[in-house]
Amino acid sequence: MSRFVLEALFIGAKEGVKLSFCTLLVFSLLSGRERLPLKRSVIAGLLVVFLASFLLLTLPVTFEMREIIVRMIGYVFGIFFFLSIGALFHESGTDIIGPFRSVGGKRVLQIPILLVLTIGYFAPDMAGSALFIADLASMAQAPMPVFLASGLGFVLFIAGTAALGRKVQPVFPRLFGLPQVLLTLALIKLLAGGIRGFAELTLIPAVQAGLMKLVHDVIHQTFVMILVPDHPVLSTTTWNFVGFLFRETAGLWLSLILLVTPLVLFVIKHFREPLRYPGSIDRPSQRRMFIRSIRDQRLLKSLPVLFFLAVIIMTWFSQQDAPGVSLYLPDPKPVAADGDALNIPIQSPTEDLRDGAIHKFSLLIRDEQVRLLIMKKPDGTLTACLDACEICPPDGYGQSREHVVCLYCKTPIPFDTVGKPGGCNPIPLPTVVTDKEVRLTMKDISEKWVLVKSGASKTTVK
Amino acid sequence: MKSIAARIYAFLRSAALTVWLVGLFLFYYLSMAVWSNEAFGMYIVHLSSNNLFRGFYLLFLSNVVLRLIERLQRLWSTRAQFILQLPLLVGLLLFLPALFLSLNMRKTLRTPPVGMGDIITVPHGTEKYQIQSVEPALKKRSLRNEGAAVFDYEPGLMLLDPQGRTYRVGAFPPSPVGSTYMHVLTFGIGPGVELKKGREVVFRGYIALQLTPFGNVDVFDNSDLPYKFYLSIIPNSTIRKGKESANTYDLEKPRYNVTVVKEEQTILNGETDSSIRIDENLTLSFFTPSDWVIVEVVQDRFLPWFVLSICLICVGIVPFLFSMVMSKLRAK
Repeated sequence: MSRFVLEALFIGAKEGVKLSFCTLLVFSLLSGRERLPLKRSVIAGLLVVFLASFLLLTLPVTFEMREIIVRMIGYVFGIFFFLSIGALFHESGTDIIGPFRSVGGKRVLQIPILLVLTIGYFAPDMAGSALFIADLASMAQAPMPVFLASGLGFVLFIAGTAALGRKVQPVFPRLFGLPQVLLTLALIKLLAGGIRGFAELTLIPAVQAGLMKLVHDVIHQTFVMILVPDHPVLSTTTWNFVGFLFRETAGLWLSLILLVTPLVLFVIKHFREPLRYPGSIDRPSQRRMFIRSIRDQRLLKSLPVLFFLAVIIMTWFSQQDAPGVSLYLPDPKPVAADGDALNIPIQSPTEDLRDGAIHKFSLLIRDEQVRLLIMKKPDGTLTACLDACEICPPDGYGQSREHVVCLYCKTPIPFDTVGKPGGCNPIPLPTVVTDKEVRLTMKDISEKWVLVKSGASKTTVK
Repeated sequence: MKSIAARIYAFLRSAALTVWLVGLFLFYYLSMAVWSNEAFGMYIVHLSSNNLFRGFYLLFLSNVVLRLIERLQRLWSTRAQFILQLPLLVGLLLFLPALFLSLNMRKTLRTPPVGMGDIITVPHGTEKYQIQSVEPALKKRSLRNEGAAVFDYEPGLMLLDPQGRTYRVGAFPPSPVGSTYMHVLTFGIGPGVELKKGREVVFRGYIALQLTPFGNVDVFDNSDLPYKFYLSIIPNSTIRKGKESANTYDLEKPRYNVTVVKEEQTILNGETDSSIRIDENLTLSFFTPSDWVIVEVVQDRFLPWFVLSICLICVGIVPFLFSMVMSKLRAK
């Protein structure tokens, strides 16, 4: 079996398991005849998702559209995570619906909301996976086995999970209320929301990058407010002190705290909530039984939350490089321009620019060595930048597992933002990529380099 | 009337309002972060310019303040807990209004590059300060190798007010000067330049250029001349010992790499520490450079409160958590 077919089978199976498990989970909330219209709403949403995914395969899809799909997956995770937290706090005694309670119970509102949530939840994953399978098919010599394998994986695992799920579904109502269902849906999205086959199974790196960006921005804004200047001006001691907060480890810990704190608060609140007996229970033995049943119920309803917490804490740091592992720092290869044109071959006997690693090149401009950086981004595009940023001295970048890292200030830059200007990102260069080479002009390189060296590029930051 | 006021008060102090407002912020942040890269920066900008954002923030502020005051009142009966939680809660009480007021009331000026003798005028005010001296960030004579830091020291300056009082201003922390806070944002070297056409001096003075870290190229021109002058500081000499090498720099008499461009054509590239002839008529000479700094001048009465609130929050987190654990253990 070719690698492409195997990968397609895996993606089909993953999407099948996700879809059937999530549907079973939602249906466990919607049992009973009176909730049949809501079930139909979910099914209608799934049909829309299938149709949209097939339709997408017939359309020309740009890299920007792919980028939007990837961002939408992270967005949907965030929405479901925050909805689940709101619902958890509502369930544990903080009435957050208040006067909207009567409106929220109406079918006329519930049906469209459920339809939108179903489409919003499944559409980005299905669309992303469908596009990835189409990519695999185009790379394979025979596309049909790839499509068949993904379809087979999808159908078989839907059937398998549905059959298995029927046996365990009776347990679901004891474990999952609305908040727990929302949280589990968010967890499934986090753990299986990757749409790049074997290369990216989970959304964790993307969520980490998003949260670390928030932490970084909050710290940066605080520093701006308390008038901390750019770090080259600070003494080493001061920078070592304040720069600690910009390090990747600090960002990871702070983002983890941001993610788990509301859930920990919920668990504490959930178990500390006072027990109230119904007025009809007056015998002590009945009271004890009532208390026990409530405690059991609380424990069971906390299990999905505790499971979420355990999974997040276990996987959070495993995604990162082990401490002490050095950055990948390739030596720059000298290149020479042909007049104003600088053409760098995509594939040569010694390297392939599409291998996901950073590639550095050096050239001389007015007797000064200028370094370039070329890498393939997660969206498949090749991007070329100066090996320098707008803020720091031009020490350049190294590569960690999920980031390129500024060698001067150690700021991690997610791969998908390389090629975008601003902050500590490598300064992008106008590039034409053909099937054989990356084409740059000396004029562009020279202009940008002069700006870096003169510090004029910093004015855009300020 | 009384019941309406009571209902408004109950609404303002409700936990539900906190949850909704935090949820609203998260929804905004998430949506903005997906479609734009600077979601938090945009929020801060909106907070100081958009009334809708200000309105929601003030609602959140009143909600949190009321809830914090109630919490402090509740804690008063158990003094130990009150004392342990006080720094964090007071820190939060101060932080939210200080942030809002600071963002909305702050007046900021970033001076152009200034050096000894220049005057700094406070924004929207009448206060003026003269720069008595600039404390350079670089040693005048230094030996530097490949991995050396950009600057040797934090730069600073001495200011003199009309009453003859002096103030020292560094890079961080900002120094109180009159009604303002000032600090140095960046430092640079301004070469002393003289352009001579025959015997006539076309220009003589200091030009603030970004020539650090050494090797940086910066450019200047003169409106009377059709040339662009690209300058960078190069080592006065290089010392080699085995495989190691280090460069010496004399900032009293730096050595420059000079490139002169006329109509996109390089007409001269050379090195000098004194003067260089550009064409038959024109000479570029250098004299001892001067140091320049860019100073940020901020008028913000709420900055000390903002800093104090951050300190209280940082200091208060550990005793707060300790108090929470203690109260839990006591309840058991």
